[in-house]
Amino acid sequence: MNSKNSHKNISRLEGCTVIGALTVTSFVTDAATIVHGPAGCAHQSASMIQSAMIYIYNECYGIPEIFTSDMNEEEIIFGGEERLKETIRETVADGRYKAIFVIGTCISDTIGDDIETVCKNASAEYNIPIIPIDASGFLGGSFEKGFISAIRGVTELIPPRRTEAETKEAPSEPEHKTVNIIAEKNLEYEVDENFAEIKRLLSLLGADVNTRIARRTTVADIARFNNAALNIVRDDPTGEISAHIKSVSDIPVIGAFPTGLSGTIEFLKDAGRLMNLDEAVIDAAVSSELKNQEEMLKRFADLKGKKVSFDLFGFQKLDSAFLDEIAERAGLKIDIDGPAIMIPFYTPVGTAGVKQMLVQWRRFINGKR
Amino acid sequence: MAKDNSRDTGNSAVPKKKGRQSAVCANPLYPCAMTGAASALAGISDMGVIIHGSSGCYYYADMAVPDTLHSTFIVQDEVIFGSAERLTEIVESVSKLYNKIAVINTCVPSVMGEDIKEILADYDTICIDAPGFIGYFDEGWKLAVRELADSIPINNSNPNTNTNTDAPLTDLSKDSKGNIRVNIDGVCSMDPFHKGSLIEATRLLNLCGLKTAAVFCHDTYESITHPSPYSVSVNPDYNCADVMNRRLNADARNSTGSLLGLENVLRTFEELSDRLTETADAGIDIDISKIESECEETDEILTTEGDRYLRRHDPPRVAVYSTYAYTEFACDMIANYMDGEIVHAAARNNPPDSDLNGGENPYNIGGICTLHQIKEILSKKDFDLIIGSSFEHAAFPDSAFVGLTFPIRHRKMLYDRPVAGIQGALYLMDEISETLENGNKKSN
Repeated sequence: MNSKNSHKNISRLEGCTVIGALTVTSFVTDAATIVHGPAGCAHQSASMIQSAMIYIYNECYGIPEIFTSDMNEEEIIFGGEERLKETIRETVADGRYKAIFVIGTCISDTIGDDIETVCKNASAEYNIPIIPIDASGFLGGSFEKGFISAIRGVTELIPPRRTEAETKEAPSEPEHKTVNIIAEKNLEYEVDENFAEIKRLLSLLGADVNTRIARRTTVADIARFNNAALNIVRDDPTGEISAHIKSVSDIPVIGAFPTGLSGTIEFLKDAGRLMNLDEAVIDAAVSSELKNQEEMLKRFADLKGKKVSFDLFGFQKLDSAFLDEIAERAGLKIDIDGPAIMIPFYTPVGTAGVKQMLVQWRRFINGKR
Repeated sequence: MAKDNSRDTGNSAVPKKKGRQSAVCANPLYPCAMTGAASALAGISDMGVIIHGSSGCYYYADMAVPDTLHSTFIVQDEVIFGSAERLTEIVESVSKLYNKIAVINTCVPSVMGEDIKEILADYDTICIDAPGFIGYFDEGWKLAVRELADSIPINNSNPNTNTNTDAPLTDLSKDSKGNIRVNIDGVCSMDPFHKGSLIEATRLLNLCGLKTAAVFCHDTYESITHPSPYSVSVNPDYNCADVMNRRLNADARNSTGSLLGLENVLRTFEELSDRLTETADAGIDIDISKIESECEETDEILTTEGDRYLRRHDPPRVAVYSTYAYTEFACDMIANYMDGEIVHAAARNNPPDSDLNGGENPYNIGGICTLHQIKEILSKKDFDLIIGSSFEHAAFPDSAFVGLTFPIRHRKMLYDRPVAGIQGALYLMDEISETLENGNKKSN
C-alpha cells in the first residue's frame, strides 16, 4: 500500500502554498521571488516546477531564478527577519529586478517572522515594489491558496484606478479592444493551446490580448492592465479571483475560459457585449464560429451512432451538461453499456478543446485506450 | 593507465560544514536534509518510511526518491493541538506493512518540540530529526545512517556483534555455503545512476567469484544489519558500511574502496585481495585477473578514444558540477584521457569524511550550492562542455552538456546506466566524447 491513498482528509493532500505561489510570481520575468525559508524549500519548489515544465514542453526549460533567505538553525532560534532584510538588500543590489515578491514558508510563519513589515519598510527604503505573498507553506492552506494569494500579490503592480478627471483627459478608446488574461495555470499541460484558442476567439471579435497575469509577463506589461476593455479569468470555481479583480479594477470580468460548443458561442456573445461591440460584429463572430464548429464535427463523422458513457471519476457534482451536448452534436449515444470515457481533469477550452477531446474519445471508443 | 588520483588539500576545498557561501542564495541546487534521510532509509525494503510533515514536503521527496514513502500529511490542526494522535494513527497503519518504521521530522514538527520517541514508544521505530534548516541532502543522509546504525541491537543474537577485534572474521565474511561476501556501499537512490552502478559492482564481484553481502542503502534491514567487514563503493560520498561496522565492532581495519574510475577499481580489488589473504581468511585467494585484464583493455579503449578526439580537436575545456566523488571522477576522466582543462569544478556536498584530511585536490574542487553562483562564474569563462544536472543545462541550454547529477530531466533515463566500475568509465567517456563531437559538428 502506498499511503498516498490511505488518508481520510483530502485537504491534507493538496500540496504547499509555496509552489502554488511560485507558479505565478516566477512568471513575472523581471521580478525576483524570494522564498523566506530554508534553501531546501526553494530548491524543492523550483525543482518541481522545472520537472512539470519539462513534461509540458518536452525540452530544456529555463528555470526561474528563485532566491531564498536560506534560513538555518540560527534564524530558527533568533528569528529570520534580519536574514530576510539582508536577502532583499542583496536582491535589490543585483539591479535586474523591477519588483520583488516575498513568499513565506511554514517555518517562517511558525517562528513568527513579520514578513509584511519587512517588505513594507524595504519597499520604502529601496523605492521598488516589494510585495509579501500570503502563503505560509502548508499552514497557509494548499497549492490553490498559494496560487490565489500570488495573483493578489501580482495585481498590486496594477496602477491605481484612474480618477474621473484622468479618465476624461485620457486619449479616446483605441480602435481595437484588448483583453487581460488572468490566472492561467502555468503548469497545465495545454496552457499554451488554451491561450491560443482564446486569442483566436477574440480575434473573431476584432480584439487582441493586452496582458497576461502572469505568464512570461513583465512589470511594464502589468502596468498596462487598465488599458484593457475586458478581463478573462482562466478558471475560478470559488469566485475568489474574479471578486478580487473586480475590487482592483473597473474592467468587466468573465470568470472562466469557455467550455463546450454552446459555451463557446455564449462566451463570444458575452465578451462582445462586455466590450460594448456593435451587434453586427458579435453576430459575425458567432456566425463564423458556428460554421467552424460544424466543420470540426464533420471530422468525427465516423463516431455517429456509437455508444459512450462518462466516468466522472468521483466528481459526481460536476456539471456534465457540456459533455452530453458534445456527444449529441457528434451523433454519439449516451448509454451505460458504452465504453466509459474518463472526463479530463480540466475542462476543454473552446472549440479547439472540444476537438482534442473528441480525438481522445475516438481512442476510447475504438478500444485504443 | 590513469594517473594516481590522490589529492592534496587545496585552499578551495569544500567547507567541512554547511555554511553560506554567498549572501545571495538563488536556485539552490540540492535538496534538504529531510530528502537525504528519506533517500537513505527508503532503500531498505522492509522499512516503512514516514515523512512527518505536510503534503508539500512529501510530494517533493516522493518525486526525488524512487522508493515508496509515506507521510503524516499534517495540517494546521496538528500544529495547534499537537501531532501525537495523527502520527500514531499513521505509524499504526504503516506498521502493518513493514517490520520496521522510520519517522523523519520536517521543519515545523521539529520546532514544535514534541517528543516523537516518547509518542512512539510502543512501536519499533527509528526517529530522525532532519528538518530542512539543518542543511542539505548529505546532512540528512548521514544523520539517518547514524540513527540506523544505533538502532542495531548489540547482543549475542547478532552474529556480527564482535567485541573482540582480534577474533577471526571468517564467519562474518562468508555466506552459509562458504562463499566470501562483500558489501556494495554508496548506493544512493536519488542518484540517477545508482541502479546501473549496482549492477556493475555486482558483476565485478562475480568476476572474482565473490558474492554480494549487504547493499547500502538498497537492501533489507536484516541484510544491512549483518554486513560483511569488506566493502566496495559505487559512490564514496554515500558510504555507510563503515558506520555500520563500527557500531557492530566488527573490524577496525575495514574500509571501503571506490569503484569510480579504472585506477580505483583496480586498487580496490587488489586491496580486497590482499586483505582477504592477510586476515584470518588466509588461504582464500581471490582471483582478480579478470578484473585486471578488463581494466587494461578498457584503458586502451579510452586512451584510443581520447587520441582519436585529439587528432581533430583541441583538448576540451570542461566545467564539472556534481557531488564530490563524481566531480573528481569526471575531472580525472577529462584530464587523463582527453588532456582536457577543468575550467571550473564544484561539488554540491563535502568530500567523503576519509578525504577531509590530507587528501589532494588537484582540480580545486570547490563547494557551490546555488545555480546563481555557477551562472556568474561560467559567464566569465570559455568552455566546451558542462557536466552537471538539468539545472546547469537549463542555465546554459546552448552549451554541450552531459548529465551526471540529480536531477537529470533533459533526457529519458529508461535503462540503467552505470557510473561506477569499468562500464561506468566507458559510459562516461562515451557520453563526453559523443557530446563534444556533436557540439563541434554543430559549431562547424
